[in-house]
Amino acid sequence: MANNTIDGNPTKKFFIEMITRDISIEDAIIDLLDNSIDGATQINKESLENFYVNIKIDENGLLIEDNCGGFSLLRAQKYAFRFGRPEKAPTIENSVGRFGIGMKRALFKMGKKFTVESQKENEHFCVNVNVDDWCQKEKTIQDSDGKSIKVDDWSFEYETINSTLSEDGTIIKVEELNDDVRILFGNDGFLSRLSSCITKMLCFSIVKGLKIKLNGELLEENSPELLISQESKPYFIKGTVDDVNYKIVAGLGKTGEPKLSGWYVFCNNRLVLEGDQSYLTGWGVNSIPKWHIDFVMFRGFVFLDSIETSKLPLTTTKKGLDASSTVYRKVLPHMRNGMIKVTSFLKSITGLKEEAKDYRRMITDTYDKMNIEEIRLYSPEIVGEMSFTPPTLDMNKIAEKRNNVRVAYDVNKKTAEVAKRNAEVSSYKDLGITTFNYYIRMEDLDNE
Amino acid sequence: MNKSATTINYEIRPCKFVERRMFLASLSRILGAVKQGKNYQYIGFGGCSFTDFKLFHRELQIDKMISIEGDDYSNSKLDYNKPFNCIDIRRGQSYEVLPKLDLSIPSIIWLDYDGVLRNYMFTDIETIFYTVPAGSIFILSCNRELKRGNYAELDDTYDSKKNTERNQPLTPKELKAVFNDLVPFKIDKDACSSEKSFDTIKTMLDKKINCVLKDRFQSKGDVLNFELLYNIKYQEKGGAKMYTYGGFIYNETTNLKSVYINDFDFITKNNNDPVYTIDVPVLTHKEALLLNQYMFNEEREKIIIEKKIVSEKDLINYKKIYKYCPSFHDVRF
Repeated sequence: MANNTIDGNPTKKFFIEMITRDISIEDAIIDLLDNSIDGATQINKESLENFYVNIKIDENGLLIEDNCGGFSLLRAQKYAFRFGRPEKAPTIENSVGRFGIGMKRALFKMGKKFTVESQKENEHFCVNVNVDDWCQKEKTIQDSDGKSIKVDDWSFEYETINSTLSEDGTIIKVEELNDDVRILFGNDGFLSRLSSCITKMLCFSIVKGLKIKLNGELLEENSPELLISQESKPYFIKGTVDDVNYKIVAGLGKTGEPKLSGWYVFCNNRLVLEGDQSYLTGWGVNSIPKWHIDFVMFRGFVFLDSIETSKLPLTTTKKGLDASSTVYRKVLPHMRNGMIKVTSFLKSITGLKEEAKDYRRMITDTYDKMNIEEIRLYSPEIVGEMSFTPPTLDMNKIAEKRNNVRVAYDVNKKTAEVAKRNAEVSSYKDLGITTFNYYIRMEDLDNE
Repeated sequence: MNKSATTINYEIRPCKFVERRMFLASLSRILGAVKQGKNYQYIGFGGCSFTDFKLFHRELQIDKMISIEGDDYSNSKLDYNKPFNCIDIRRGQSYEVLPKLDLSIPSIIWLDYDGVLRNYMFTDIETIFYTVPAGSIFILSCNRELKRGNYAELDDTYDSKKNTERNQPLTPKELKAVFNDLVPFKIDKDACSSEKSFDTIKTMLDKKINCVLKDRFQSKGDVLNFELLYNIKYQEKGGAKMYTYGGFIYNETTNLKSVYINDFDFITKNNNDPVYTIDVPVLTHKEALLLNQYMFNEEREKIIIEKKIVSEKDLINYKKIYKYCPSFHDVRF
């Protein structure tokens, strides 16, 4: 039998290249912050006021320090450094870590040397990895015929540390950065981008009080808002599918910022889809129109929560959704329903033609704004079909405007001035109306 | 979109008249067996004539009626023409009004669009089928022509100044460009020709309804099905080629098992049945009376045809629709 087998084991180099390929550096860093947040949430679900994460980034490396509780040596030995989550791994309730890949992938992505130091209760230890050495590392085992063979050694070594940190937490250090990462870390634009990603993706944790500093700057949450008034309420529905609680709120947001328009999907409070305007959230699918600037005020929020992270439609990069998951397929029709209701109102606004812009501005300026925490806690009496009550619109006026078209033409200015004087009108607009009416009368088209 | 303000009295289009009467005949039986009329709401496009509203209010005892009005008639004109106080006129296009309506009560909905097939009609279907309860009736009528000239979004893709080009049926590629994934993956090259366009529209409507009902099952757990009852085409003399599609939304407890309607030849018995054509022959009042008197008497029929009073084709068509046929008279008052 042994002669018939073909070795299919991956090489470590291939493995690292594959897992690090499809994640951006920003997402890799946020993946590390997710671990900090998961740790802090285990200590206090309600408030993260007493926790901090400090990130320091420069061309020499990355340093992340937190006081979020750290992880135990047992966890490090059994799960944290394993590639992939073992089936029997204990669940971290309401976390976003699911696949057991995030931290390793982030570290391998960035540098050739990394250190993970953690202190939890009385345990304080450190894992030092030199990536090149680790890739070469082999061990000897006996095959089924009793022969000694050398195979890749995938283990990591740790050292216990005798000194004590002032608070339980984790310190991650990456050095000898990969060339592309070093260039990126030296770029100021990257810091702005990273800051923007963190403040959006982790907005809930910041709202809950977590202090995240990037190179000494305290980051403030940056999340989309929803407009609400006494007369106008968003679409709302909630329920449970397959152990996942869902809540959908869809309505209007401020005008003028097309990038903010679309769907926002949160899994256990982590933003995984931001301002989505693609087929993934139903745009342009099965009779729902593709996203269009007329829908600039559309804002939809989906909150998916589950104690068991594996039930959530997360992808390994936590960016985007596993759209084929049963949970998402069951939630999407509700999203579509909300979308039809809100976009039908937005189409009506377009019917106001030249007055549409002012109307959108009026709603933006006069309505109250709900922040992300208020949206999440929103729980009106009316749920489902009739929950969306749009602002009032004069549909009669819209019907009249819809039956009008704009006729435009360019003519010589001097000739137009002569015609204006002759027609005794004061503006080019009136001249246009006069000349059009003149044509209709002369051609006897009045009754056509 | 809705009944055009510029067309003549809508009530006297003979094919539409016949169709309306066919609906009435079949709906009377369905409502009698399934629910009382009073529990239903009727949603339609009343225009200024409210013809279907008058008929269904009187004959089906429906008191809750909503007319969607997308045209720019003045409010006073609409109110003046409103025949019954129970009719609630909602201004806006169907896709603007339907999402605001309470569709959770049993409904008879007839979306009698004036124009050709459009994407928003499928959105209307989604709005309706995602919410209406079992026992509801859905009917959609539209112009069945799938020609390039009707779809401005394709103007840049061919020589749209030439009428011969504009009158060409859509190619499958063009149909997909307009309707995307609403179009079945496998489709005949001549799917939009006048011989097949109604079938193509039917397939697209079938597909959309199935899809929404599946989604509804997934998200709400409602087990519902749709039974096709109306699959009808007609063309008014000199008018547009129309197609009507409609049926009954049912579940295990509210269905048509105990309703006998198969004696109506315009009712589709099986989803694959061929389309039913309404063809109202042009007959004088005297000719119609003659046929009424002697129809189904083979000898008499033969004589009428031989004498060339009425053609055989007109006789056959008249036999199909005479029970629902209008008789117009000039009344001076």
